[in-house]
Amino acid sequence: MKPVGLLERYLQAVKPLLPRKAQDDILRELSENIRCRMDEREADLGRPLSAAEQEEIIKEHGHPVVVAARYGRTQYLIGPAVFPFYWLILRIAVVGALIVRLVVEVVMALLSPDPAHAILPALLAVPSVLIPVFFWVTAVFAAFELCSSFFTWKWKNCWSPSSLPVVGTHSPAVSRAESVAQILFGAAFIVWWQAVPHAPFLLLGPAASIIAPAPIWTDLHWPILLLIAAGVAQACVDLARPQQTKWRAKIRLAIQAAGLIVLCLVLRAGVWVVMAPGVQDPARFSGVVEVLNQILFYCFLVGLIIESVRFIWRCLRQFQAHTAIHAAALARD
Amino acid sequence: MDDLFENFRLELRRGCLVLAVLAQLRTEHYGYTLRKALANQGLAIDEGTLYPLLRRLESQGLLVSEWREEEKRNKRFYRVSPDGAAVLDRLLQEWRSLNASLGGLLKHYEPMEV
Repeated sequence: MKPVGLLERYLQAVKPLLPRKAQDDILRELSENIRCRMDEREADLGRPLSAAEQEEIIKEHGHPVVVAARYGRTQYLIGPAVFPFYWLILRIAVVGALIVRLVVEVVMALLSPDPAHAILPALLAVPSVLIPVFFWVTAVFAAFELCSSFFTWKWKNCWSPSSLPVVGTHSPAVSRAESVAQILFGAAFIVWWQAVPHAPFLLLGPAASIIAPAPIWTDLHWPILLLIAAGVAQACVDLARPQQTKWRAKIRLAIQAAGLIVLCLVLRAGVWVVMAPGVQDPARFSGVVEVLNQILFYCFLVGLIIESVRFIWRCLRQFQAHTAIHAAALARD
Repeated sequence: MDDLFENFRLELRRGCLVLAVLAQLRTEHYGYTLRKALANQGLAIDEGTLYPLLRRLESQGLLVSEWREEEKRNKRFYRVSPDGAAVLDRLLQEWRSLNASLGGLLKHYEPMEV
């Protein structure tokens, strides 16, 4: 008796998992190969195969999911070339998201009418941020993996030795991981920043029912957006050509200077959150708004000091590098 | 340690599979007889690996195939294409060069006592 029943059940299980276009052709070939093997075994034994023997041959062929997967084009979501960047960004994103969520939840709990009872549920809610972070980072990198053959081709073919920097005159390369992180976080920020005016909840969370962003954020919406977009564009260039050049360092300094100006304008505003329209008991929350504005003042002040120091440090390094190159050129001449 | 060895062994064999398949398909075979021929030469390949590999090599233009009847059954016969033959020649050169290098490296090799 031919093993039609078992074999057909096996082929039926494999079929829906195969690439649609080649489904019938692959099944036909699989079927023939397995039948050949069974025929030969029958010839060796001189008798028809038992059900157990048929099952053994089919089982040796492999689980339907595994067999079908091997006919698929891609066997992985994120390949070995992209994985190191994915892993780095995922770790950064997870830690960053946990910290931000923790701070937001704790502040909201402390501002609630009953902080003692609100703090535990707030802390328990923190890990829930991990699922969306994992999903989005994985989705972005999986999409990047799909396009990576194009990028790899570009990197492999669009270069020439004469386009590389002259020996002794270049600064170290910009880290690719740093560029990828800047692109991903910058892109995510742009999407979020564009959505905030329509959904203040994204900025203030549950506190959006009590407080609202001050007019300064509307005034500076586009400057901040352009600043981040410039940073993303810069990171894209860095990713394609990671070697630092004189012009690139200057452009980076210009973007940082623009950032400092925006930060000064933000600090000068003095009010960053106001009472949301329609709050039923304004007197009760006016203190909260005042405290929040004071906290934000110190945050922006510290941010401005740190950014100013970084800017001055970069300017000095740029000046030193420029002087060294000039001296090297003079020595060669 | 056994797992590590098994991984290295599989990697080593995987690197030789394409060369072995292209070499064997200088004469025409269908999947099952190809597998048997390779096994007879001491290179047993799992069916789940071999058949998808044949498809991939065909889609890359290194093999050509046709369905034909043999012993009252339709079978898909594969053989190496002109491009496949050119790749096979280059792979063989590479293989011989590697083999010679390893031969030189291992000429005075003696297993270490543990």
